[in-house]
Formats: sequence, C-alpha cells, structure tokens
Amino acid sequence: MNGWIVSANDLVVGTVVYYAADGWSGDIGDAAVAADRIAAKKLLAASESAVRDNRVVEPYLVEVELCRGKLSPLRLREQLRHRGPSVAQAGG
Amino acid sequence: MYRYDEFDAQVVRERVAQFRGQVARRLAGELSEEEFKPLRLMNGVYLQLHAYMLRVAVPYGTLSSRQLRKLAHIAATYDKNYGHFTTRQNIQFNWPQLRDIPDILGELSEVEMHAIQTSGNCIRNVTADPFAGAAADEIEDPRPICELIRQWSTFHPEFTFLPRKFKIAVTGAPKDRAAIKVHDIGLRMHRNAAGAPGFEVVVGGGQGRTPMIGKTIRRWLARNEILAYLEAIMRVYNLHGRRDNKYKARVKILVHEIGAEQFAAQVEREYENSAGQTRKALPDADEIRRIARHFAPPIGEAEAKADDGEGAKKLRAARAADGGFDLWCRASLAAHKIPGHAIVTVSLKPAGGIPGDATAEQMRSVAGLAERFSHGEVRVSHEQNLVLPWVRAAEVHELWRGLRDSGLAAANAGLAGDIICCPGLDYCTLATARSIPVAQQLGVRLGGTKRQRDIGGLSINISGCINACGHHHVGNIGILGLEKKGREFYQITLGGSADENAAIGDIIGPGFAAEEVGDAVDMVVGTYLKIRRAGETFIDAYRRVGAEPFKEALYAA
Amino acid sequence: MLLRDGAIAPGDSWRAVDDGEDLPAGNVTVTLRRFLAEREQLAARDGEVGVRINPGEDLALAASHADAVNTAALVSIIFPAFTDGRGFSVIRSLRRQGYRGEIRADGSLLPDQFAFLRHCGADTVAIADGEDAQTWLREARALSLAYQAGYAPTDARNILEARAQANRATLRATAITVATPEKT
Repeated sequence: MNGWIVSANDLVVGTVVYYAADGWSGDIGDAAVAADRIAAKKLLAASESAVRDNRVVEPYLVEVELCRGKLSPLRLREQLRHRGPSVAQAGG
Repeated sequence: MYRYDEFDAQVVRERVAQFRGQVARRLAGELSEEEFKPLRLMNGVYLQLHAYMLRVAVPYGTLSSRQLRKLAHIAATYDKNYGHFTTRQNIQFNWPQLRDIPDILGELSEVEMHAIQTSGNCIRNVTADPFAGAAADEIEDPRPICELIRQWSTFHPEFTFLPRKFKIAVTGAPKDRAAIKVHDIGLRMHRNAAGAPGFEVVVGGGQGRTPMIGKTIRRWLARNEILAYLEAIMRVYNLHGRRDNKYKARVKILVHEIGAEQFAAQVEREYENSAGQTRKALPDADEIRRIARHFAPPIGEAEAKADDGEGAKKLRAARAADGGFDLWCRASLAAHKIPGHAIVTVSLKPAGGIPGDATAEQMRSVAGLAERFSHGEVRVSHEQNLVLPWVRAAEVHELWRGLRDSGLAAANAGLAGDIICCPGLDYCTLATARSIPVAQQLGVRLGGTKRQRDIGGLSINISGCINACGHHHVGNIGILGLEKKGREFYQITLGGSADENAAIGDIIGPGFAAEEVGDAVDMVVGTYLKIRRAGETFIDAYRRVGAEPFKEALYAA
Repeated sequence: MLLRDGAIAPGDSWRAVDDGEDLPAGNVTVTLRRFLAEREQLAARDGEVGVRINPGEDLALAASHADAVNTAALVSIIFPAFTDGRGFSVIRSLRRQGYRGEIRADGSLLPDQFAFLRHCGADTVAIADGEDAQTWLREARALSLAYQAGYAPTDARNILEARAQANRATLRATAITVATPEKT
C-alpha cells in the first residue's frame, strides 16, 4: 500500500525529520501517514504550522510504500535522505 | 602567500558578526526561511539532503598549513571529521549545524579564511593554476592578479546581484591547468609582440546544461588594465544578461546570442567610456606591488642558484631503487621553475575512495608535511587533489614515505584513477543520480597503477546531474548521472578536455544502467588500447578516429 | 518612507504621476517615456520634474537620451525584484554620465542592499511603510569598509585610500628617519 508522509529538515541542526502525530521525529517509523492525496494535502497543511513555530525548513510530501508495517520512500532521493549517504564516510 | 592586513581582517570580522546576527534573527523567528535563504547563501551555507553544507573559499587554491590545520579542526569539531575538496578549489563541510556556523566562520576568520561569495549570483571564488608561482612553464605567477580580483569582487556594490553566478579562472602558464576556457571569464597570461606579459581574455565558457567553450574577446590586455576591463565586462553582463530564464542567464548565453564580436564591441565601448574614471580609482602601483610582494617564492635566489644537482641525483637514485616510489613520482611530480625542486601532487583518489574527501587526520598530515617539505604551503587543484608546490628534490622520497603513512600516496595523479566527481545524490539536493559509487566502482575496476600507467593520461569526470559540478563535459570520458522512471542511468560522453585545447565531449549514445557503467568504461578503454598508435594518449586517439569505433564497441553487440 | 544619509528623511515632496494622469502642482516624477515626450509641458509648470526609470523596460531609451535624463531634478530607479541588480549599474552609469541630481532607489529591495545602493551613487531609498527602518539603517552600517574605489562610499571607508594613506605615512616616517642624521 502506498501513502504519503511529510518530511523536512530541522531548522537548527539540519537533519532529516518526519512529521509525526506529536510533532517532528527523526525516525521515519513515527511519521504520520496519509492514505490518499486529499489526506496528504491536509497533513502537509498541518505540518506547515511547525514552520511558523520555527522548528523545520521547507516541509514537503514524500510518497512511501507501507510494507509489513514498515515505511519506505519510493524515490531513491528519499531513500537516501532516510538512510543517509550510500557510501562510507571518510571520517567515520 | 598573501596575508591579510588590518583592513582585510576587519572586512571578514564584520561579515562574521553580521551573519551571526542574521542567524540569531532566523533562529528567533524574526527572519523567515524565504528572507534568510539569500543571506545564508551569500555566506556559503546550503541546505542539502541530510544537513546544512558550508562551502569555504580557498582563494585561487592557495592554503597555508595553518589554514589546513584549521580546516581539520573544523572537520573534527563541528562536522563528521572530514571535508570535501571541490572542482572549484573550495572545501565543503557536509554536516555543520546552523547554530554552529557563525562560530565556524569566526574560527575561519582567525586564519584569514571565509565563505563569502561561495554561492549566490555574484562573482565567486577566483580560481587559478594550482602550480602557480612554481611551474617551470609559467610566465609569471598569476596570483597577485587573483588576489586583486578577490578584493575587488568582495562585496562589489554593483555586481552582487547578477543574472547568475560568475566564475573567473586565471593561468600564468601556456599549459592550462585551471580550465580557463570553461569559465565565465578565463584569463591566460602570454607575452605580446613587444615581450610584455599580459592576458588573453576569454569570455562565455561554461558547463551546466549548455556547455560552451569560451571565446576570446581581447587577444592581449596589460596587467594593470585587468580590473577596469573586468568592470566593463561585468557591467555589460549585469545590464544585458538574461533575467527571464535561470537556465539562460549565464554570460555564455549572452555571448552566444549576440555573438562574441558584438559582445566584445559592447565591452570595448563600455571600457572606453569608463576607463578613464575607473582607472584612476583602481589600486595604484604601490598597492599592486604590496600585493605582489606576498607572492615572492619562499625559496631565495641564493638557494636557487646554489643548486648543484645533488638533490636531483638523490631523487633519481631513490627512484631507481624503489619501483613503487618511481611509479608514484611519474604521476605526482611536475617540473619546477627553481632548479633542484619539484611540485608534488597529493592524490585524494585512493582506489575505492571518495574523490576529493580528506579526513581531519589526513589534513593535519598534509599540513605537517607541508611545513616540513613545502614551506608551509599547500594548493588545491580543480581535479580535487592537493599540491605541495615547493619541495626539494632531495626530500621527495621522505615526503612520499610520510604521505604513504597517511594513506595519501595513490600513484594515479593524471591517470584514469584520478577521477573528478561531484557529491551527487548521496549528498546533493540538486542531483538526479549518485556519482560517488560510480567513481568508487571505476577506481577499483581500472586496476592497479601499472595498468593505469599503460593506459596513460586519461581523465574520467562524473557529475550527478546536468549542472556538471563533476565537469563531465570536459572529461576525456564524461559520465552524467540521470534519473529515468525512478532508476539511475548514466550518459557517457567522449572527447572532452579541460586544458588549453578545451573541448566539450560528444554524447556517445543511449545511457547505461548503474551496473553497466563499469563494463562500458572498460569497453571504451579497451577500444582505445586497440586503436592507439605509439605515444598516443586517449584524447589524441579519439581526435584522430572520432566516436565511431567507440560507438561500435559499445552498441554494436 | 524615505531614507537619506543613514537616517529617516523628513517628508517626501515628490508625487509619482502615471502616464495620462493630469499633472498636479508641486514636484512630480513621471515615466521615462512621458518625461521624453512632454518635456516642454513639464518644463513650463511650477514644481520640479523627476523621471522614473525601470531597468526592466527603459535601459535602451535611457542610454540614448542621457542628456535629457541629466536635466531631471530626480531620477528614481524602480527595482523590479531585489534579485534584479541592473539598477545598480544604471545608478552607476547615471553618475558616470555626469548626472548630479538626486538618485532614488525604489521598488523591491532588501535592507542588505542599502549600502551597495549608496556606494553606486544613490542618495535616497524609498522603503515600504510596513518595513522596519531601523533594520535598514543598521544593515547600511554593517560593513564599514569597501575595496572598490571610485564608487561613492558614504559611511564606509575605502580600503585602497586607507592603504595609500598608510603608505604615504610610512614614506614620510622613513624620510624623517633618513633626514635626521644629516641634521646632526
């Protein structure tokens, strides 16, 4: 089943966050899922209040697949945002 | 190298204070993201996929060991212990937090560095030959001119809201190591009939979605006329460059649309009209001398004259005794203008590594080695390598051992493994596909130094989107990552070149899936090895035979 | 609201009059087109005449009528967007062609551009009534130095001039040291 979640970057730190029922979370598993486009629009509108609260930057909708209770983004770009760079980091 | 005086220092200090205030206003909610974005961009702060990214300018690619240590400190303290050297001789930090960035900029200002104009529609960091001041083939060190341009372009009141970004590159040598023909303005030093050094002015080169080789609009321009002439070019561009379409806003489009001759005529007219007034107002001879003095070679004339050839002899003996060292020397050493010295390229391209990345430890190692062996001076090249410009021939072997201990002795500079690569979709929000994994895969497949030596000089450049930060258009083999129906695929171009014979590569045919790129590059290299004549590099062979044999090899089956 | 010389200017006597609109008494600004078309009528009335130049539309016309523009009592540059920096070059070119009257920057602008406008040669900036004038005035002073000579820094000190001064001072000091032994 496909759905939509809202993602953004944390204003202060810059990290990837997802809009959850009780605010923003770094864990995609916490994300609130909209089942259709109308619900997705509402979800995005709700998340935008957090922009006014000055917590996140530029929230937008991300299409996800819900498979065995796990959310995974459809597009590679969002998969990479979710999992981090696919390459080992020189410093780590 | 140049040292700030009290005024340069104050300019940067005030900028840090100003940005600190802007960040505070942003965090307090007094500035919206829309209002803050242009302000942060003017200080090199982007928001990328996973985090903020800070791009720090390395003016004309020259760094002191003290500055490199500071970059290492920033990587270790505020980031994830590494940094990424870019094709514009800058360094990028991938993980800084917004709240820390004013402090980072403050720390940078302590070592005379900044992030001013590393983004935005302004005159960006001026780039130069990484061998400047040291190359044997050089007419004159171009860096005094670069520093003049840096100062003149910093917070220029008239040219900070241009139609689009603006990049200037300068070379003082006939061999173009600064890719000047694919910049908005390229300046190439040469002598006129009377023997006086001056600059050929090339305008309208660039990469991105409309790659173009720059056109010469002035054959020769005296050095003291450069700023006045640049001002004329900038004014014509600022007034007449297109502002209706972001993708047509670079000066190359203006030059293309009205023609190089018409553009040159407009510039000359503007120059004639304003030259008198402008010239009077420009830095005087004392000021030019003051700046030039900073770039005097750190090796005194006495030492240069005293060279008895012993150092070179010692180096030859070490190379004869150690095959691995010799292979590294063949790739890494360039001829120096001062006898008994060598320019050493430090490859940041270990097989399977991330091109241009360096850990804090590696930066500290290079800083230490630069202090011991290169008068504390380091350069960054547009190939994303580091360069030690002032090394005694007698000490090259010892330097190599030091580099080897830090994992920095890849013997592939200028060879196929010396891959230029942008961060791609692993980091960049503009990217359409990943580029680093392709570089890593190729780096391993291309084989060891001996095979790469056999292949000879070959540039492979990879970009993760059409913006071409990985300079794929001018790679002998260019690879452009795109997305189709949610899958990455890679378009290959052949025949590009970034040097004095600059050329835009030809698209060779349909793209390849990620897992096919390695085979495709193997096939291209294999075809070259089959058809090459004695002494012919890849680009020579390609120019002789054209695309056909390569197309056939790639697509016939 | 009008800002002049790093302060809020008291009252603005200029009225912007559209094409086709009747000319009121007092100081008016008109479009470049009207300014060129109705020069005699404009000159015959009481009150001064200023011209509005929109860099998006009027570049060629303004350049080919530099002499006429030079007679205006005020030139108002209307920035179509803060990212559109053509106005800076227009201001600069006006000064270069010898225009000595008031140059006003108007339209879409950011506080951070105030200093640059003044350096290029603008005298005044018109800001929207809702804007915080203090932010503008503060940003105008954020950078106290400028590298570009030949522009007209007002608050900012010119670095090239400062360096030249320092050089001359050094030379004088050297001259004195050299001269002293001769006297003794």
